[in-house]
Amino acid sequence: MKKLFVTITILVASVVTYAQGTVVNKYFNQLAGDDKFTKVSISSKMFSLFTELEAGSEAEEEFLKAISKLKGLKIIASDSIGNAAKMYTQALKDVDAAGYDELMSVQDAEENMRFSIKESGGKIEELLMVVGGKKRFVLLSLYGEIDLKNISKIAKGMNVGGLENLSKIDAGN
Amino acid sequence: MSKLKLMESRIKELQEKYWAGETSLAEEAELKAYFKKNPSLTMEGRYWNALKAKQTQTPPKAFKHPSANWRSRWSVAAAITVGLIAAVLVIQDARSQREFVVEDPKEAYEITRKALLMVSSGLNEGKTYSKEIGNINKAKEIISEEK
Repeated sequence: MKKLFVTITILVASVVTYAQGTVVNKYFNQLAGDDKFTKVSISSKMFSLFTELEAGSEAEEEFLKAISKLKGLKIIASDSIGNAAKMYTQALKDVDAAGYDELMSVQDAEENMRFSIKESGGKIEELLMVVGGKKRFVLLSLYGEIDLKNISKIAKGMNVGGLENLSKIDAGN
Repeated sequence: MSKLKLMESRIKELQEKYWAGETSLAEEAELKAYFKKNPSLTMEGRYWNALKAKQTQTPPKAFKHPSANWRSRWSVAAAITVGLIAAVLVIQDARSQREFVVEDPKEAYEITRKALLMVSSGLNEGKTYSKEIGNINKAKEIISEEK
């Protein structure tokens, strides 16, 4: 009986560990065959490669610092869907159901945006960003050890604002 | 025949003679010397040996109700099933996502840069909003104070 208990505990623990990125994984699976969505996944191996890069400028140094402890990045995005608002609402529901804490929400005439986090031991281990516009939907998940301060410095350093950058992302699939 | 076997058969012979009351004094002395040399072969020695063996013997398994046995088998089966299901889910998930993994470091770097820039500017936008809201609240306070 004890052995069984240990087995189940290990199983549950591994499933919980795996559950990191649950929401984004769910959308990846759901939209796997939908060409309207750009899907990108960057592995922890790739992030470990980035740490070996040398920074050319101060802004780049800031960026490398921010990503040094990241373990993964997943993005699902589309600029041309009719039901973007509905998807946004549904995504927020899924995010809440998966136990993420809301960090901040921004709403304006064109777009809604929400940041949610998953914490463990006082550290942010996943940051989820959901964006919903008229035709735009973005779900982005960053995981690893996340330092919000460092991340928010990136845009300041590069002096770029706005969300239009994402449309330029082309993963080639 | 080995020397030991020869000795053993001789002792056996002597023992039979002894119990029949036919041994000479010399033969009795021989028997005495033999058992003195090999105490484990005497009746007493055998008794202690048997006792020692009993002590080191592992106790037989405790009685287990057959139903308990079945229960544990069921739970093991359940655990294996859960494990298999979890493994299948994990493999399926990994497979469906592998195709979206960016393999080119240059491209991955560029995507990460753009994505983080977006997150970063989003976070800053949120901060600006909260500042603006703070300003509005301040303004409200001032107005209510003036009233």
